[in-house]
Amino acid sequence: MSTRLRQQVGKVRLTGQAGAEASDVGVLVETPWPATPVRLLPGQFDLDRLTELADRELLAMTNRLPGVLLPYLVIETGAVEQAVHRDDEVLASRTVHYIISSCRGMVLSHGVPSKGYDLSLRLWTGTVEPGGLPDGLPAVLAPAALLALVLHLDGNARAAETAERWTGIGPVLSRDTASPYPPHTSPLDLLAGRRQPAGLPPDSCRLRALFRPELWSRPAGSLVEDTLASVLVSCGMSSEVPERAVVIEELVPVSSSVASGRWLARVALCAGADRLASLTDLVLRLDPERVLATCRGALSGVQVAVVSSPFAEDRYGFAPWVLLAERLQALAG
Amino acid sequence: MTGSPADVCYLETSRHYWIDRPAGSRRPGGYAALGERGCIRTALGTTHRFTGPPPGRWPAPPAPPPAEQGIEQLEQALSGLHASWRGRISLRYSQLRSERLTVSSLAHASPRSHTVWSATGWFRPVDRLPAVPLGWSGRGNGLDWLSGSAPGELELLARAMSGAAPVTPGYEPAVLAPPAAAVVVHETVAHQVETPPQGTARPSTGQRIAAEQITAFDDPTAESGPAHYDLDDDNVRALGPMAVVTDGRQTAWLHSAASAVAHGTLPTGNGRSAGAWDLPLPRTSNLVVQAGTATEAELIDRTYRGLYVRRLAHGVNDGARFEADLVLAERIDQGRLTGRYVVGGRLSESLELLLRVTGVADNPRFHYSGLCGKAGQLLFDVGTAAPSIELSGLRVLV
Repeated sequence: MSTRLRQQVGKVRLTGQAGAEASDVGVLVETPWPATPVRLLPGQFDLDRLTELADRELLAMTNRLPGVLLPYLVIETGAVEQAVHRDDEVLASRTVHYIISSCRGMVLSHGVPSKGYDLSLRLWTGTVEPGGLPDGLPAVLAPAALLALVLHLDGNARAAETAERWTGIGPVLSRDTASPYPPHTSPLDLLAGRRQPAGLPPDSCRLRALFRPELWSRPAGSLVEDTLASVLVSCGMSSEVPERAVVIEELVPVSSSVASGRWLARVALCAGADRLASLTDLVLRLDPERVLATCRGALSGVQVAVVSSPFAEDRYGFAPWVLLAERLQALAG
Repeated sequence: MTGSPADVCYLETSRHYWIDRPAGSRRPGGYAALGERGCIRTALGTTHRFTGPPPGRWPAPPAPPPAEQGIEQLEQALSGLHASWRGRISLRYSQLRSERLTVSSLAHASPRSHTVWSATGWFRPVDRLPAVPLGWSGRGNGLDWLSGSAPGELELLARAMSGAAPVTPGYEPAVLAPPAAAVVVHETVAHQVETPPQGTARPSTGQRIAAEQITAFDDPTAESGPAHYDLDDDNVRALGPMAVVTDGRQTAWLHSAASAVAHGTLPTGNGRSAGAWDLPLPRTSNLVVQAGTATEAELIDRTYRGLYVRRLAHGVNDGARFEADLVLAERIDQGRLTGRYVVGGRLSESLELLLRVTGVADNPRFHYSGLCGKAGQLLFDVGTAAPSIELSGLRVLV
């Protein structure tokens, strides 16, 4: 008796900074284990059709954003087909089509059912020079920035000592969740709640990694298994939305230090109905644990957010907007 | 897919092996995968990645996948390490064997064989101290290292760490042992001579990036280096050692085919990619620092009091600064190593750190550590042969 797990992913990605990227990738994992290896299969999707959809979405989004922010815009259209077979019988299958657009870590449209998450968005209305960020305003973490801090701590915890997972600091809590990004799901998800077919290996984390062939050449444990999880970040307290605030929209670590390290921060000034993006990244020396410990409360429900990764595909998760007790200047110290 | 003569197609057939030995687990894991894949880069800058045979006018992949190879000896070697340090070590072995072909108008296409390995994870010999990251890698399958020198290296590390104290922050003279010097040289010299991305100003040469004791070559043909190739991933022939730093001044830039076109010069055989889905970038092959005339003992003697840095990890160059974790160092006192080990701490220095070099020893050598990530691509076989290096000062943070 043989069990086969198959996944096909076709996608087209348009960005304001580089040429279009298209890919069409198939993976087959077959038991009895481990006699038969994992195989790459020919692609099967109509990439021209996906490109058309992406072009249309790009046009729609172009009209919603100030022109200077278009280089930050990312549009992706795709299709995912997954199936689990036992001999000639199809045990489960699904096909998902999606369109995702994002800008500066904020997911603007998400073609997957949102499960009631708050997707109300406040878009940028202009730009501000870094020198135009007033001192003394409250600091707010946008979902992508909060997610980046949590993933940094969580990834290091998973890489070093797997016994005790990092789950939260102060009012900020984190738990694993299914990815809102369809290519990061796995045919194994089709078996959730069912009796697993005989012959599948028990360590499903590695099995999931096999459906991400873009990671096959990434040998370091911390770059493979430990970055596969999607997380949902929540905050146990809530706060009033401040009238004016400095929003940290995205954070990118530039050192691997778990404690205080250098981060690139993309920020904006929110004042009344305006959201003004700074086009110059700030370099902050942040201690992620300390930042999370200063979290005063959530300003929204959780939203889909995306964190760009230097060594893997972008990571999607869920997080709220949160207000911090400290000002940007204090955090940066 | 139609195309223009300027389009380039990267093709690969490959066989991957993974062997897992997680800490505390008696149940080993192992996986194997094979397949063909490729990427087409068009003159317009679009990319198309695919699995299976290439579309349309492109030739078939370069060769059938490499033959299956027994990995029993590797499993035994990893099991041996795991058994010696049960619960204190976590290892993942990875091997990639591939046949690659680059089809372009630039050069006649020739298939290239490529076999690289890595073993990564962590090691925690002493309960009260944090785990030490492990990252071994290189050309071939790594069996010689895993069954030969690796057990001894872990023993030495465990012995040194068992009596180690936490490092104290400060700024003091230091000698970098060859493995630590390799990390510093890689981050502050190797990445500095790789041509920056298209769109940045045309780089110049002649600027001082290290003290005048430092002369370094990039050499893809170095016999004992982790990298070893005649043709790079752009299918450009490598011509042997090329001086990139002479007497502390930068004398050359490393180019891929694309960066050479962008900067109006010739490629240097340094277009390297992690696989057929990744476009070649300017990357170091093996950076070899020329030996000095002093012995390491003479450098330590001259330092008189300071730090002998044995091992660094997680080196990062963010374009402005160099950072690394200090894993293990030993105090130097009265010109001698004292056996007083210190652990922990972090280096955070400007990229001009090597301007503080005051001595270079006569002992350059390669190490089983060739992992290097850049722009989303992780190579297993980026070599650095560095000798012991004396610094007038090194800042350690905690």
